[in-house]
Amino acid sequence: MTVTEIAQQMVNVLSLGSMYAMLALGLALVFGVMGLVNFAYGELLAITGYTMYLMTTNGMPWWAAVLCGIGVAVLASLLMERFAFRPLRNATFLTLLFSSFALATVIQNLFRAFVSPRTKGVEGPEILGTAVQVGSLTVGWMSIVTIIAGAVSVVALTMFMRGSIAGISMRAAAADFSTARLMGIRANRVIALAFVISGLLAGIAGVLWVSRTGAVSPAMGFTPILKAFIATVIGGLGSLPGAVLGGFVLAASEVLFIATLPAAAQPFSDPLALLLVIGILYFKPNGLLAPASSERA
Amino acid sequence: MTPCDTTLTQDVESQLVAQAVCMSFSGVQALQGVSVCVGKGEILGLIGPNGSGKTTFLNVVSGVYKPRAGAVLVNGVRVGGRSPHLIAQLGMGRTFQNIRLFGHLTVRENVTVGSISGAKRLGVDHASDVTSLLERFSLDDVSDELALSLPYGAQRRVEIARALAGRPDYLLLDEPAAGLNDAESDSLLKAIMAVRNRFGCGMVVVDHDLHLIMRLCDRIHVLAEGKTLAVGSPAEVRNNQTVIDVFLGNAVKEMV
Amino acid sequence: MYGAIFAQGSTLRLVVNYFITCILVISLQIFVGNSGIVSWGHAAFVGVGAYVTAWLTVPTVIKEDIFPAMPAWLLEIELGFLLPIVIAAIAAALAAAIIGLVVCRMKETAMAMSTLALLVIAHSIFNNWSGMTRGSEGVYGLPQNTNLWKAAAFAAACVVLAIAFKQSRIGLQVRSSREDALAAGAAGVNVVRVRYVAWVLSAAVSGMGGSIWAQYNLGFASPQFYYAQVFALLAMLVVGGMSNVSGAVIGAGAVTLVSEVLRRVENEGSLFGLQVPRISGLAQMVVAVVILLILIYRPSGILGWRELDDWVHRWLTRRRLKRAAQRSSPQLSEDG
Repeated sequence: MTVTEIAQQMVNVLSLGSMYAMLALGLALVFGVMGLVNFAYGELLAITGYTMYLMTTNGMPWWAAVLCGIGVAVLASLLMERFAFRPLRNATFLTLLFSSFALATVIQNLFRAFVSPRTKGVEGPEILGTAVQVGSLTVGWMSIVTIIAGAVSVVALTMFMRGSIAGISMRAAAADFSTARLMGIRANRVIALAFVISGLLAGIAGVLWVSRTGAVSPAMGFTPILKAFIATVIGGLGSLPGAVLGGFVLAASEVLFIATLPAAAQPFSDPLALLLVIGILYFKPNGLLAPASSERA
Repeated sequence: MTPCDTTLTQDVESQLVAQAVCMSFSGVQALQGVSVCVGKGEILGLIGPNGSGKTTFLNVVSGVYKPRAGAVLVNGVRVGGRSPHLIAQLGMGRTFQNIRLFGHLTVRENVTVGSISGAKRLGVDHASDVTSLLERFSLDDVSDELALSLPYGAQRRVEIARALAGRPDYLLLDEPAAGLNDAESDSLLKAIMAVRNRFGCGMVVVDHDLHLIMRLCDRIHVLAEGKTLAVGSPAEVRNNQTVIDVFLGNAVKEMV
Repeated sequence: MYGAIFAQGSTLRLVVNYFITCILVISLQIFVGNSGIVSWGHAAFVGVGAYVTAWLTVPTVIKEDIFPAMPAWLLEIELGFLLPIVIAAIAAALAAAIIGLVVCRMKETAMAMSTLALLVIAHSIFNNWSGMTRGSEGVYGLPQNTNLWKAAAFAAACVVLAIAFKQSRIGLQVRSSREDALAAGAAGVNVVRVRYVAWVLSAAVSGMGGSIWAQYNLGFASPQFYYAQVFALLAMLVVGGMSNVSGAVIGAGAVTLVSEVLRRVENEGSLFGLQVPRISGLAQMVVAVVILLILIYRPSGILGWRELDDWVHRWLTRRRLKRAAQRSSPQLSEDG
C-alpha cells in the first residue's frame, strides 16, 4: 500500500473511531454511575433519526431537525432513566442489561407501529456528500464533520468532568458506583446528569449516523449499540478514556480487516473484529485500561 | 525445617506453613514477611488491629490472592498462587468475614457442595457425612430451607458445616464470632473445640473477640501493619508489652 | 382421542411449536439458569443444529440446486428423523466445546459479553456462507418429520434431562458457582470446569432443538438466528424463573400464549369482539413490556427459586398442618 492509501485509511480510522468513541462514551458514562450497560442506548440514535425524518418530511429546515433530534434524544434519555431504570436501581448487572434490551425492543416496535416498519430516507444538506482535496488525499466532508464533532465532544466532556463540581461528583461515582448507590438523593441527580450527557452524545451521534447512511429504520439502533458496547468492553467498562481508546481500537481493527481482506471475505470483517474482542476479553477481562486484578478467583 | 519459632510436634507433612509471605495492592504493602505454622489438631489464633492484614493472610493461604513473595505449603505441598479450588481439594476449608453462603440453595445443598471436594480426596461416601454434620450443628430441621432465609447465627453454622464437609486438614475461620452475643460465642467456642477433637484439623481463627481467642487457642499469632508482632501461648501474648501497647493497653490486661 | 382436538391447522401448529420452544428454552435453562450467566450466543447452536439437519435431510434431488458449495459425499446423504437430530446435537456440542475452551475461562461479565460477540459472529457466518447456508434467502425443502407426539416426547425427555442435570453433582456445583463463585472455589468447586460442562450440554440440547424445529418448519433463513429470537427465549426463561426447569416450561407457555393472542389481535384487529387498532409489532412490544414489569416487580420470575413440584408439595404440607391444627383445637378455629 502506498503512503497515500495508508493516509486515506488513517482518515477512515479517525472518522469511524470518532463516531465509535462518542457512542462508547455515552454508554460508559451511564455504566460508570449506575452499573448499567444500557442496551436501549442505540435506540436514542434511532429516536434522533426518526425525529429528523418526521421533521424534514414535514417541511422543516435541516438545522431545525438536527436541533430537535438532539433535544428529543436528551429528553428520551431522561425519561428512560426516570421510568425504566430508576425502579431497577439495585438490580444485578444482568437484570439491568436484560431489561434495557426489553426497553429497546419496545422502542423499536413503537417505530414499527407508529411510523413505518420500512426503511425511510432522510435527506441531508448536499455538502455532506461531497469531498475536499487535502494534498493527495480525498477527504469527505462527512468525515471531517464527524472528526470535529468527536474531538469537540471529548474535549468538552473532559473539561466538564475535570472542572465542574457536577462532573467531579460523576467521576467519583464512576470510580465506585456502589458508593453512588449509597449516596441517596444525590445519586438521583448524578445519574440523571449522566443520562442527559449520554443523551446529548447519542443525539449528536444520531445526526451523524443518519447523515452518513441517509436513512432510518426500526432496527437501526442495534448496530450502534453493538459497536459502543464492544468499544467500551475493549477499553474497560466504566473507564471514559477507555471508551475513547476502545472506539479507536475497534475502528482500527475494522478498517484493517476491510483493507486487507479479499473481496470474498469482506462480510467477515465485523466478525473478525469481534474475534479480536473475545481475545482481548480473555487476557484482560476488565478491558485494556483496567488494572489487572490481583485476585485469582 | 520450619522458619517459625514453635514447638510443634508434627513434621512438615502435617502442617500448614506460610513462609515469609508478602502481599501488596497497588503499592500498598498488606503483608511483609509473615511466617506462620499450624499443625494438625492445633488451634492458632490470628489477631491484630483493623487493617493489620489478617483477612489478606487468609486470602493468600486459601488461594484467593497470589502472594508477591514467599511460599505456602499444605502438608508439605507447595500451593502458593494456585487456584482456590485446587487448594481446597488438597484439604483446606474456610469461612468468610461476610458470610458467603449459596443463598438460593438449601442448607443441605450448601453442605453437600463442601462435601463433594472432600469425598474425592478420601474416597468416602459423602451423603452420610452431610447428614451427620447437619445434626451436629443443629441444622437438620432446616435442611430443606433456602440458606438465605435463615437467621444470622444459623447461617454462620451452615458456613462452618460446609467448610467441614470436605473433611479438611486445615480450617480457616474468618471472624466466626462476629455479630454473636456472649451465649452464642460460648456455644461457638464449644463447637470449634469439638470440631478439633472430633476431626483433628488444624485451625486458624481470626477474630476481634480477644476473650474468645484467649480461651480457644493453643497459640496466638499477632499481626500489626502486615508484620508479625508476636507469637506464643495465650499467656505469653497477654503479657507481651508490645502487644499490649498495640491493642489499647488495658483491654488486654483485663483478659481472663 | 385428544389428538383430534389438536388436529386443526393453526392450533396444532401452535402446540407443536410450543413443545419445540420448550426444548429451546430448556436448553438455555441448563446453562443460564444454573450458572447465572446470560448467554446471547445459543442461537448459534440452534443454527448449527438446523443447518446440519438441512444438509442431511433435504432430498438429494433438490440439494444440488440449493447448496452449490456442497461436497459430493454430502449431496448423497438423505436421512430420516432421528439420526440428523443426534448428529446435529453432536455438531453443536463440538462447536460449544471449542468455543467454551476460551469463553468459559472468563469471568462472568466478560463471558456474557463474549456470547454477544458469538451471536454476531455466528449470524454473520450463517448470513454470508451462502454456498452452504443460502444466507438470508433461506433453506427450504426439508421433510416434515416432526409431529405432535415426537415433539412432545422430546420436550418431556428434555425436562427430565434438565432436572437430572440440575440435581446432579455437577449441576449442584454449577448452581453454587452462580450463588457465589468465590465461596464455591473455596469449597473445592472447579468453577471453570463445571460451567464448561453445562455450556456444552446446553449447546447439545440447543442443537437438538434446532434440528427438530427445522424438521417441522421445513425452511428457515439466517435472520432467524439473531437477537430477536435470543431475546424471546431469554424472556421466556426470565418470566418463568431462570433457576428452575418448570419455570422454563411455564415461561414458554405464558409468553407463547400471550404472543399468540396478540398476534391474532394484530392480524384480525379485534379482541373478544372489541375493535383494536392494528399495530404492527404489538405482540413483541407487549411481551417486552411484560418482561420489564416482571423484572421490576418479581425479578425471580413466576416460579421464583423452586420447582413446580416443590411449590405444590409445600402448599399441600401447609394445608395439612393447618388442618391438623384445627382438628386439635376446634374452639380456636371458631374464633380465629
